[in-house]
Amino acid sequence: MSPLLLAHELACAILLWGVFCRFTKSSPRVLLSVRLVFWMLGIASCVAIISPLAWGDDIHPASLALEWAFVAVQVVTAQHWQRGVPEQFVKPAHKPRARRKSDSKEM
Amino acid sequence: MAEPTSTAGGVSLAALAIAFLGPLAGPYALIVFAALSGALWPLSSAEPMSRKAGAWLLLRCTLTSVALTGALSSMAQAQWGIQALDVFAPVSFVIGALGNGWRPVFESVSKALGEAFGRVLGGSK
Repeated sequence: MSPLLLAHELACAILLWGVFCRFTKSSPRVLLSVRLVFWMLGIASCVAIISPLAWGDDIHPASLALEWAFVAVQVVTAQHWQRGVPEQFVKPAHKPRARRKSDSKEM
Repeated sequence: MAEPTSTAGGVSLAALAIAFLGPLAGPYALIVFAALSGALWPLSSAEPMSRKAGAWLLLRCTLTSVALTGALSSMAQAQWGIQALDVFAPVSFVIGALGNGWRPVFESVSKALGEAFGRVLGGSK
Protein backbone atom coordinates (compact mmCIF):
# COMPACT_ATOMS: atom_id res chain seq x y z
CA MET A 1 0.00 0.00 0.00
CA SER A 2 1.58 3.29 -1.09
CA PRO A 3 1.83 6.28 1.30
CA LEU A 4 -0.51 8.25 -0.99
CA LEU A 5 -3.16 5.54 -0.83
CA LEU A 6 -2.78 5.16 2.92
CA ALA A 7 -3.11 8.92 3.43
CA HIS A 8 -6.16 8.96 1.16
CA GLU A 9 -7.93 6.10 2.98
CA LEU A 10 -7.12 7.63 6.36
CA ALA A 11 -8.47 11.05 5.37
CA CYS A 12 -11.69 9.53 4.01
CA ALA A 13 -12.14 7.38 7.10
CA ILE A 14 -11.74 10.41 9.37
CA LEU A 15 -14.25 12.39 7.29
CA LEU A 16 -16.76 9.52 7.49
CA TRP A 17 -16.22 9.24 11.23
CA GLY A 18 -16.78 12.99 11.60
CA VAL A 19 -20.07 12.77 9.71
CA PHE A 20 -21.14 9.77 11.82
CA CYS A 21 -20.37 11.57 15.10
CA ARG A 22 -22.28 14.66 14.01
CA PHE A 23 -25.25 12.61 12.84
CA THR A 24 -25.52 10.84 16.20
CA LYS A 25 -26.27 14.32 17.61
CA SER A 26 -28.56 15.32 14.78
CA SER A 27 -32.36 15.16 14.80
CA PRO A 28 -35.33 16.13 12.59
CA ARG A 29 -35.09 19.59 14.21
CA VAL A 30 -31.82 20.33 12.42
CA LEU A 31 -32.05 22.37 9.24
CA LEU A 32 -32.59 20.11 6.24
CA SER A 33 -29.87 21.87 4.25
CA VAL A 34 -27.31 21.15 6.98
CA ARG A 35 -28.23 17.48 7.16
CA LEU A 36 -28.11 17.21 3.37
CA VAL A 37 -24.64 18.68 2.99
CA PHE A 38 -23.19 16.51 5.73
CA TRP A 39 -24.87 13.52 4.10
CA MET A 40 -23.18 14.52 0.83
CA LEU A 41 -19.86 14.58 2.66
CA GLY A 42 -20.55 11.12 4.04
CA ILE A 43 -21.48 9.78 0.60
CA ALA A 44 -18.37 11.31 -0.97
CA SER A 45 -16.23 9.77 1.78
CA CYS A 46 -17.70 6.31 1.18
CA VAL A 47 -17.20 6.59 -2.58
CA ALA A 48 -13.64 7.79 -2.09
CA ILE A 49 -12.83 4.93 0.29
CA ILE A 50 -13.78 2.23 -2.19
CA SER A 51 -12.71 3.95 -5.41
CA PRO A 52 -9.19 2.45 -5.39
CA LEU A 53 -10.71 -1.02 -4.87
CA ALA A 54 -13.73 -0.84 -7.14
CA TRP A 55 -12.29 1.20 -10.00
CA GLY A 56 -8.54 1.20 -9.39
CA ASP A 57 -8.47 5.00 -9.26
CA ASP A 58 -5.13 6.74 -8.79
CA ILE A 59 -4.64 9.19 -5.94
CA HIS A 60 -3.61 12.66 -7.06
CA PRO A 61 -1.64 14.81 -4.59
CA ALA A 62 -3.96 17.77 -5.21
CA SER A 63 -7.03 15.68 -4.32
CA LEU A 64 -5.22 14.41 -1.27
CA ALA A 65 -4.44 17.95 -0.17
CA LEU A 66 -8.12 18.87 -0.52
CA GLU A 67 -9.17 15.81 1.50
CA TRP A 68 -6.84 16.70 4.34
CA ALA A 69 -7.99 20.31 4.24
CA PHE A 70 -11.55 19.04 4.80
CA VAL A 71 -10.27 16.86 7.64
CA ALA A 72 -8.73 19.95 9.24
CA VAL A 73 -12.03 21.83 8.90
CA GLN A 74 -13.94 18.96 10.49
CA VAL A 75 -11.48 18.54 13.35
CA VAL A 76 -11.38 22.25 14.18
CA THR A 77 -15.16 22.73 14.00
CA ALA A 78 -15.82 19.57 16.05
CA GLN A 79 -15.46 21.61 19.23
CA HIS A 80 -18.67 23.46 18.36
CA TRP A 81 -20.55 20.15 18.32
CA GLN A 82 -19.46 18.94 21.72
CA ARG A 83 -22.69 20.06 23.38
CA GLY A 84 -24.87 18.94 20.52
CA VAL A 85 -25.83 20.53 17.22
CA PRO A 86 -24.80 24.20 17.08
CA GLU A 87 -27.78 26.48 17.62
CA GLN A 88 -27.36 28.10 14.21
CA PHE A 89 -28.07 24.76 12.56
CA VAL A 90 -31.36 24.19 14.36
CA LYS A 91 -34.68 25.09 12.75
CA PRO A 92 -35.94 28.47 14.03
CA ALA A 93 -39.05 26.96 15.63
CA HIS A 94 -36.91 24.66 17.75
CA LYS A 95 -34.13 27.02 18.79
CA PRO A 96 -33.61 27.35 22.54
CA ARG A 97 -35.08 30.65 23.71
CA ALA A 98 -32.89 33.17 25.49
CA ARG A 99 -33.78 33.88 29.09
CA ARG A 100 -35.09 37.33 29.95
CA LYS A 101 -33.04 39.49 32.25
CA SER A 102 -35.92 39.56 34.72
CA ASP A 103 -35.97 35.77 34.96
CA SER A 104 -34.52 34.43 38.13
CA LYS A 105 -31.31 32.52 37.60
CA GLU A 106 -32.13 30.22 40.46
CA MET A 107 -34.26 27.22 39.54
CA MET B 1 5.85 5.19 -11.97
CA ALA B 2 4.11 2.36 -10.14
CA GLU B 3 0.39 2.65 -9.58
CA PRO B 4 -0.47 3.91 -6.12
CA THR B 5 -2.56 0.81 -5.53
CA SER B 6 0.38 -1.55 -5.91
CA THR B 7 3.74 -1.94 -4.24
CA ALA B 8 7.05 -2.55 -5.93
CA GLY B 9 7.27 -6.25 -5.21
CA GLY B 10 4.03 -6.91 -3.43
CA VAL B 11 0.34 -7.44 -3.98
CA SER B 12 -2.13 -4.69 -4.79
CA LEU B 13 -5.05 -3.83 -2.55
CA ALA B 14 -7.49 -4.93 -5.22
CA ALA B 15 -5.71 -8.25 -5.68
CA LEU B 16 -5.80 -8.91 -1.92
CA ALA B 17 -9.50 -8.16 -1.77
CA ILE B 18 -10.17 -10.42 -4.73
CA ALA B 19 -8.17 -13.20 -3.12
CA PHE B 20 -10.39 -13.02 -0.03
CA LEU B 21 -13.72 -12.11 -1.54
CA GLY B 22 -13.47 -13.51 -5.02
CA PRO B 23 -13.87 -11.76 -8.36
CA LEU B 24 -16.93 -9.88 -7.12
CA ALA B 25 -14.90 -8.03 -4.46
CA GLY B 26 -15.48 -4.73 -6.21
CA PRO B 27 -19.29 -5.10 -6.47
CA TYR B 28 -19.52 -6.42 -2.89
CA ALA B 29 -17.59 -3.45 -1.58
CA LEU B 30 -19.71 -1.15 -3.71
CA ILE B 31 -22.95 -2.59 -2.29
CA VAL B 32 -21.75 -2.31 1.30
CA PHE B 33 -20.49 1.24 0.96
CA ALA B 34 -23.51 2.36 -1.06
CA ALA B 35 -25.73 0.92 1.66
CA LEU B 36 -23.64 2.59 4.35
CA SER B 37 -23.76 5.99 2.67
CA GLY B 38 -27.53 5.69 2.24
CA ALA B 39 -27.96 4.59 5.84
CA LEU B 40 -26.37 7.85 7.04
CA TRP B 41 -29.64 9.64 6.20
CA PRO B 42 -31.91 7.77 8.64
CA LEU B 43 -29.19 8.30 11.24
CA SER B 44 -29.31 12.04 10.65
CA SER B 45 -33.08 12.18 11.01
CA ALA B 46 -33.27 10.00 14.11
CA GLU B 47 -33.33 11.50 17.59
CA PRO B 48 -29.90 12.10 19.19
CA MET B 49 -28.32 8.88 20.41
CA SER B 50 -25.04 7.46 21.64
CA ARG B 51 -22.36 6.42 19.15
CA LYS B 52 -23.00 2.79 20.03
CA ALA B 53 -26.70 3.11 19.25
CA GLY B 54 -25.83 5.05 16.08
CA ALA B 55 -23.44 2.33 14.96
CA TRP B 56 -26.13 -0.29 15.61
CA LEU B 57 -28.66 1.67 13.53
CA LEU B 58 -26.16 2.00 10.68
CA LEU B 59 -25.37 -1.70 10.86
CA ARG B 60 -29.07 -2.69 10.76
CA CYS B 61 -29.82 -0.45 7.79
CA THR B 62 -26.69 -1.53 5.93
CA LEU B 63 -27.32 -5.24 6.46
CA THR B 64 -30.97 -4.88 5.42
CA SER B 65 -29.85 -3.13 2.28
CA VAL B 66 -27.18 -5.71 1.48
CA ALA B 67 -29.70 -8.53 2.00
CA LEU B 68 -32.36 -6.97 -0.24
CA THR B 69 -30.14 -5.55 -2.98
CA GLY B 70 -29.49 -8.86 -4.70
CA ALA B 71 -33.16 -9.79 -4.87
CA LEU B 72 -34.33 -6.37 -6.05
CA SER B 73 -31.56 -6.07 -8.64
CA SER B 74 -32.47 -9.49 -10.01
CA MET B 75 -36.10 -8.38 -10.22
CA ALA B 76 -35.04 -5.27 -12.13
CA GLN B 77 -33.06 -7.45 -14.52
CA ALA B 78 -35.97 -9.84 -15.06
CA GLN B 79 -38.59 -7.08 -15.34
CA TRP B 80 -36.80 -4.35 -17.29
CA GLY B 81 -33.74 -6.06 -18.71
CA ILE B 82 -31.35 -3.85 -16.72
CA GLN B 83 -28.14 -5.66 -15.82
CA ALA B 84 -28.18 -6.45 -12.09
CA LEU B 85 -24.51 -5.44 -11.69
CA ASP B 86 -25.34 -1.98 -13.02
CA VAL B 87 -28.05 -1.30 -10.46
CA PHE B 88 -26.44 -2.79 -7.34
CA ALA B 89 -25.09 0.53 -6.10
CA PRO B 90 -28.18 2.76 -6.60
CA VAL B 91 -30.55 0.05 -5.30
CA SER B 92 -28.37 -0.51 -2.26
CA PHE B 93 -28.12 3.23 -1.66
CA VAL B 94 -31.88 3.77 -1.81
CA ILE B 95 -32.65 0.82 0.45
CA GLY B 96 -30.06 2.06 2.96
CA ALA B 97 -31.54 5.55 2.85
CA LEU B 98 -35.01 4.19 3.62
CA GLY B 99 -33.61 2.97 6.92
CA ASN B 100 -36.32 1.91 9.30
CA GLY B 101 -38.87 2.85 6.67
CA TRP B 102 -38.98 -0.79 5.60
CA ARG B 103 -40.97 -1.79 8.67
CA PRO B 104 -44.23 -0.11 7.55
CA VAL B 105 -43.62 -1.44 4.02
CA PHE B 106 -43.34 -5.02 5.29
CA GLU B 107 -46.37 -4.55 7.53
CA SER B 108 -48.43 -3.22 4.62
CA VAL B 109 -47.36 -6.10 2.38
CA SER B 110 -48.19 -8.65 5.11
CA LYS B 111 -51.57 -7.04 5.65
CA ALA B 112 -52.33 -7.01 1.93
CA LEU B 113 -51.31 -10.67 1.58
CA GLY B 114 -53.42 -11.60 4.59
CA GLU B 115 -56.47 -9.85 3.10
CA ALA B 116 -55.89 -11.49 -0.28
CA PHE B 117 -55.67 -14.95 1.33
CA GLY B 118 -58.78 -14.18 3.36
CA ARG B 119 -60.72 -13.27 0.22
CA VAL B 120 -59.51 -16.37 -1.63
CA LEU B 121 -60.39 -18.66 1.28
CA GLY B 122 -63.71 -16.87 1.83
CA GLY B 123 -64.56 -17.16 -1.89
CA SER B 124 -63.76 -20.86 -2.05
CA LYS B 125 -66.22 -21.76 0.74
